[in-house]
Amino acid sequence: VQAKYGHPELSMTVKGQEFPAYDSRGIQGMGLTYATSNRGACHLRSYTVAIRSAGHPGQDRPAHRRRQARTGDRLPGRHGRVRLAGICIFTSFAWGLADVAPQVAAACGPEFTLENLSKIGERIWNMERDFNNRPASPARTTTCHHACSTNRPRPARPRAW
Amino acid sequence: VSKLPEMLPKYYAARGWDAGGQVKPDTRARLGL
Repeated sequence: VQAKYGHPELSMTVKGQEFPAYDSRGIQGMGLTYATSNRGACHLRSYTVAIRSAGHPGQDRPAHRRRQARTGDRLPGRHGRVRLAGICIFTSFAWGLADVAPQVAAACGPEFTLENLSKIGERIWNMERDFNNRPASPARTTTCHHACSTNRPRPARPRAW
Repeated sequence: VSKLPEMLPKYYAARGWDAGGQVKPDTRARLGL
């Protein structure tokens, strides 16, 4: 829509998908999630805000951003494993992979161990990345438009409605 | 405001991707892709 009206720079999207609820100017890890998600600005491919809301100290310091970069490494694989199991992503609020693995093994076979599921999740994430990196793919970019990629600060305090 | 220039290289390295975000050959080999 923004391109249609001559201002594509106002589009708050990655790969054409609009941002979900989380303002990446304040929650930097979600900016990393949006920028690197294989299907655009999606909070279901990685959810670093969960780590942040769990209450790590020093959340706005550089050390925290480094931790979020590492967290962003783990979470896409974790969500990939939940997706491969065909179960609701909301179960990840309560279950870890150790809870999911025996269920998948019971349904599909003993080879679906914790270790193998971990590798499968990583394979999914990398195959999707490889697909997006093909020269003809419209999803090649790792960019956030507008608020995520410019230095426009967020408001000092949220507006009350 | 944007910290992506700081975070992306660390993320790519942690994933086993090169500086341009391409999956490295050794990562591809490790995963059997």
